[in-house]
Amino acid sequence: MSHAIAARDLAFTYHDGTAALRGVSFEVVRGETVALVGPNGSGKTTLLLHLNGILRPAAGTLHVCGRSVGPAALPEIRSKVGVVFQHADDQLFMPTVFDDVAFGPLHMGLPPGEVRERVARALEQVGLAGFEARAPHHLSGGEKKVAAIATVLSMSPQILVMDEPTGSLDHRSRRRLIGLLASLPQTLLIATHDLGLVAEICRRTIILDAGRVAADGPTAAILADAPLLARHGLEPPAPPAART
Amino acid sequence: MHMPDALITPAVAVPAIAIAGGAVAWSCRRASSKADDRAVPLMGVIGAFVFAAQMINIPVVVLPGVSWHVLGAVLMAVLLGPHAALVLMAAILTVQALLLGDGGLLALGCNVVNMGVICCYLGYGVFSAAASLIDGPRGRAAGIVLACVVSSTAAAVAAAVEVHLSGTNPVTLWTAALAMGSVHFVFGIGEALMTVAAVAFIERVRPAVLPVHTQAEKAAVRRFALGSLALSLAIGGVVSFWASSLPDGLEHVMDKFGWPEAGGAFGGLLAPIGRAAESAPFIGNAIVGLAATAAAFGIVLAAGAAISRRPKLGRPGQPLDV
Amino acid sequence: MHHAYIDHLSTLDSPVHRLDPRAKLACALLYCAAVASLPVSRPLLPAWCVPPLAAAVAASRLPLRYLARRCLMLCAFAASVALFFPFTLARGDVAAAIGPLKVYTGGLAAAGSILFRFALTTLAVLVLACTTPFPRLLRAMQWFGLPRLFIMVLAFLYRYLFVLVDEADRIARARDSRCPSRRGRWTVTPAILGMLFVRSVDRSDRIYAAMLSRGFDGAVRVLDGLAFRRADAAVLAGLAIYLSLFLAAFLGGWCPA
Repeated sequence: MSHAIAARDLAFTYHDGTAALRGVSFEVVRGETVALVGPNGSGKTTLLLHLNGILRPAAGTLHVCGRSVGPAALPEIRSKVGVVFQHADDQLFMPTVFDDVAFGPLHMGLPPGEVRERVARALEQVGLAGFEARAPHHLSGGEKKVAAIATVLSMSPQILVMDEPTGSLDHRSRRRLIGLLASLPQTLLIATHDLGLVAEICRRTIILDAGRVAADGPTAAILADAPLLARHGLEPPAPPAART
Repeated sequence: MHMPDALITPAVAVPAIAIAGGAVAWSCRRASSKADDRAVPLMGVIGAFVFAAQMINIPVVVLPGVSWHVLGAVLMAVLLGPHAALVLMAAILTVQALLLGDGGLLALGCNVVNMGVICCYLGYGVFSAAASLIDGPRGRAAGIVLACVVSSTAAAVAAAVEVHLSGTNPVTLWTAALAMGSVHFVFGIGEALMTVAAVAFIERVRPAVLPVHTQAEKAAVRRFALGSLALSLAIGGVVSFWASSLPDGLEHVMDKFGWPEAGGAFGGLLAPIGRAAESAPFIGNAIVGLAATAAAFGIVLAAGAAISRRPKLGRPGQPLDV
Repeated sequence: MHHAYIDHLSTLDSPVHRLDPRAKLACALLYCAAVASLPVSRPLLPAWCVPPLAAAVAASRLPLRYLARRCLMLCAFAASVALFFPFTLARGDVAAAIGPLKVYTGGLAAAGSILFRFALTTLAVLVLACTTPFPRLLRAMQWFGLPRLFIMVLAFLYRYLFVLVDEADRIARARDSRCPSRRGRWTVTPAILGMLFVRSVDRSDRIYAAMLSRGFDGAVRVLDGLAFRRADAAVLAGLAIYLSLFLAAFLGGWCPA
C-alpha cells in the first residue's frame, strides 16, 4: 500500500459513554504534511491515540504503513509511528534528556553504540546538542517541546503524529519549532488550533467535528472558506502582515 | 519525626537498615508480582504527590507560628495497598535524606522502619480489620482514624526506643515514650482528619480510583482481624503487666554494656511529665500496653500476610485478587 | 524551588564531581557510620573526623557560603533537640543553676557532641548530594543491589516531584489568597490533597501512554555509564584507612580530646 495511513469508518466510545469517533475515514500519502483541526472535543486527540495502538477502535479498520493496527503489530508500528503528545512534561519522564531520547531506541533492542549515535543525531536535529546531561525540569517550555520531539526522532519513525506542537510557546520558540517541522522528511499529521502553522507548512487539512470528518482538502481552499470554518468553531488565521 | 544520624549508633542503625531493606525488597516483589506495567509510572507520580503534599504546611490553630504537615503513609496504604505504600514511603524518605538533609543516611533504616513499615503495614492492618468489621464508608472512616492514630503513636514510641537503645536519650525511656507518643497521638488525629476528608473527596470526584474488595475477601479479613485482635490484646496485657519492671531491666542491661546512663533526674522542662509518669505509673503502663498491643497486632498481621494471599497492587478501580 | 540549585551545583566540575558515584556513596556511608558511633560523653572527639571532610569540601570547589548556610539551617533543628540535654541529662557536675533548672556538665557535653556530629554528617551528605547528579546516584544505588522497582520509583519521584511541588505551590497560594483565616485552611486542604491525587493519577495515565508509544514493555532500560577508576578506589581506601586508624586509636585509648 502506498498510503502511510488508511482509516476507514473508525468508531470509538470512552468508558463513560462519550462517543469520541463516529465513523472517521481518511488517507494520508507518504511524505504528506496534513493538519487535523477542529473545535475542542472533536476527537482529535482520540484519533491520534489510535494511530499507534494506544486506543483500539470499536469499529472500522486502520492501516499504518501497510499493516493493520492490532496487538501483534504493535512493536513494529510503535517504532514506525512517533507520537508527540500535547504536554511535554508527560513525554519527558526520565531523569535526564539523554535517558529520555535513548528510551525509544533502547526498547527497540538496538545496541548501545547505535543508541548513543541516534541520541546525538536526534538532539542535533532539534538544536539541543550538548543537552544530554540536563534534567527535563530545567528546560524552558520551548526546549521541552523540541526535546519531546527528539525522543521520538531517535526511533527514526516514518510517520510523525503531533498533538498541539505550538501550544503555550512564546513567539521565538514557535518560530523555531515551525522551522524544525518544515525541515522534517517524515509524513506529518499535526493536530492543532494554530491555523497560522497550518497555513505555513500543511499542504492538506482535515476538519474534524463531533467525531466525524467535516472537510478534507487543500489547506488554501479550506482556510479561505470562512463560512466552513465558522460552522466548525474555527477562525481563519490573521494575514501574514498582522502576524509578527 | 525524621531522625538524624547524631542520635543513633550503628549498633541500632545497622539492624534497622537490614529490617528496612528486607521489608522494602519484599514489598517490591509483592507490588510488582501481579501488577501490570502501569504500576511503575503510577507509583512514581503518586510518590511525588505525597512528597508535594508533605510540603503543604498547615498552621496549627492553637499554637501560633507552628505548622504541621501530613505524612501520607496511611493515605497511600488505603489507596494503593500496603506494599506499594511502603515502597513509596521508603523512596520519599530516601529523597528527603539525600536532597533535603531531612534525616540522616545511617538513620534512614530507622526512619523507614518507623514511618514506612510501621505506618504502612500496621496502619493498613488496622484499617482493613476495621473496614471489614464495619461495612461501608463508615467502616472505612473508622479504619482510617484508628490506623492513623495507632500507627502514628507506635512509630513515635519506636523512635523513642531507638534513641534510647543508642544511649543518646536525655531522659528515661518512660518519659521519652510518653512525650513522643502523646505528641504523635495528637498528630495522628490531625492526619486522620485529613486522610478521611481526602479519601471522601476522591470518592466523590473519582470513585474509580479507589481499590475494590470482594465480599469473600472482606469476610476473610474480618475473621482474621477478630482473631488477631484477641491475640494481641492478650499479648499486650501480659507485656503491660510485666512492663513495670521494664525500665529497670533496660537500665540494668545498659549498665552492663557500659552505655551512658540515661539519667533519672527529671529536672527542667520535662519535669511535669516526669512527675506524672512517676506518680501515675498506670498511664505509663497504658502507653506501653497500647504500643505493645499495636506491635503484637502488627506482627500477627504480618505473619498472616506471609502465610495467606493478600491483596496485590492492581489497577485502581479493578477488583483486587482475594 | 531551591532544589534546583543543588542540581546546578552537581553539574559543575571538580575532582570530587568526577569521582564514581558508588565510591562517593560508600565514602559518605562509612563516614556517617564512624561519626555516629562516637559516644556523647566526649564532645571534642569528632574533631578527628574533620580533616577528611575538610579535604572533600576543598576539593569539591563548592561555594562555602552556600554549604555553611544550608548546614546552619539544618543544625537549627538539631539544636532544638539538643537543647534539652544540658537540663535533663544528670551527669557530671552542676555547671550552673537558673532558678529551679540545673545545668549539668555531662548534659552540656552531650548537647555539644550531638550538634558537632550532626554538623559533620549533614555536611558529608551535602557534599555527596551537591557533587553527584541524582540520576548518577540512582545508578550507584542500583549497582549496590537495591530492588529495580524501588530505583524506578525513585527515578520517577525525582523527575516529577518538582512538577508536583510547583503544582501544589500554585494551589496552596490560591488557597491562601482565598482563605485568609487559618481555620479555613483546615477544611480546604483535604480537597487540595484529593485534587492533587486525582490529577496525579491522570498524569500517570498520560505518562504511561507516552511510555507505551516508545516501546515500553514492563522493564525500563537505561545505559549504564559507570566506570570505576583507580582514583575512586584510592579515595575510598584512603578514607577507610584513616577512619580505621582513628577508631582503633580511640578504642585503644590513645586519642586525646
